[in-house]
Amino acid sequence: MAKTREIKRRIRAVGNIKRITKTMQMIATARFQAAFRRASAAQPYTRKIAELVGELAATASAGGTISHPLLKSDKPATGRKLLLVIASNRGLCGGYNANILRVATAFLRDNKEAQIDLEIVGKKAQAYFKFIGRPVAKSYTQFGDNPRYEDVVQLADQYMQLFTAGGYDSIDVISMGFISMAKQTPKAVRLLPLENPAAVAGEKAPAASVQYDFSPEPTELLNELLPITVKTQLFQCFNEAVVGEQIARMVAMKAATDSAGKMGKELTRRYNRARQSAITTELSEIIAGAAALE
Amino acid sequence: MADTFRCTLVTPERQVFEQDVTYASIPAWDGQMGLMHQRAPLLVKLGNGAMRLDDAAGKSHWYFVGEGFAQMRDDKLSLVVGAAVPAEEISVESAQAQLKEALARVALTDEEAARKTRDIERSRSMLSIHAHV
Repeated sequence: MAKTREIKRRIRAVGNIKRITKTMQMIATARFQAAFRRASAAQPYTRKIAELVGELAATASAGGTISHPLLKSDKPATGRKLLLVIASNRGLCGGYNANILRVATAFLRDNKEAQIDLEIVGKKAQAYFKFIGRPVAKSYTQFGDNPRYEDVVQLADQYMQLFTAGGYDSIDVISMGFISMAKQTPKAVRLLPLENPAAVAGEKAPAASVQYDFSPEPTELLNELLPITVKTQLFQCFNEAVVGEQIARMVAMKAATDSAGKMGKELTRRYNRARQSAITTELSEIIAGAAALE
Repeated sequence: MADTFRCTLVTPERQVFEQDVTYASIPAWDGQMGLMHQRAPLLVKLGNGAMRLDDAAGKSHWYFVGEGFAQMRDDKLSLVVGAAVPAEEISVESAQAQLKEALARVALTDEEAARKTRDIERSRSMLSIHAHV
């Protein structure tokens, strides 16, 4: 019967889709684990750098205030800011890109008085800003699922150069932040200027508890460490973004697989009902025909 | 042996080494430096170069490290560097090619001269580390 054929076709289509989404879910799970391992492996380095900055800040500031081109200062504002938005290249990751772009749009709106140069990572961000007609200064495509430290360092060096040359008042990054497997929220991180480490350290510990041999002088060591802080912060943004994307895709594809399964069952029931009603109709026709012949 | 101290070598991408060592030779910015257990607390900037870590069993682990920092405190040595290549993974061909290229380079400015010297030292360092494999 025509109706049963249609339903049968739909069941097959749904079955195919279910297989695809299930595979995508498994791939996203594997990629998530790899990304999470990479992000966790970066933690000891990041923590150690922060610890060294803290220890040096207490010592270096004992001789006076710390000043560095990357730190907050009282120089006159230029009225220009730079915003980097990190979104994904591929879709099918649920609300991931929508959430990030919503936060980015809000940032642009709240900072309307400043001239904001917008730089983006990810084709989804590109498409969005093109759609709303917001001009984009730069679009980076070299960061994929596996952002390399060298590539991020190149970007960080570029930003630090631009900032110290006096081009921008601030450089912010909007990307997906990882809080836990169940919770990821978009975050806006102020990459530059850096918070004065003496101010941060002063709240926590008193003067350095350990008398170090410093080579070179603590101030110079601190000056070397501050750019590294910027690099690790940016690297962390990229890592968390990738982890968040894979989790979002995992969740979205799992939901799709479950829906496809449910739809398949529903369609199978309809198919059986249609099949049975076709048989009943045929039977009654035969019986009616036989009765008419008597 | 009791005269060991914990040594950890981390890069932004992974933890490369964590073991008890008897001796560490690190490339400080102003030259090679040797560290043994109970050394006074130290915080030093590292340059590119060869790093040798002798573990408790007496085996020497050689690495080529990028710039970073070394912190010695409470008998624990923490090395944070931008990159660390184990001796076994150094490619002799590429190091030799880099050395050849750097030597042939013409340096016209101070910056280029500094970069040329650095690249020459880097490739020479890599080749000498590889010899210890």
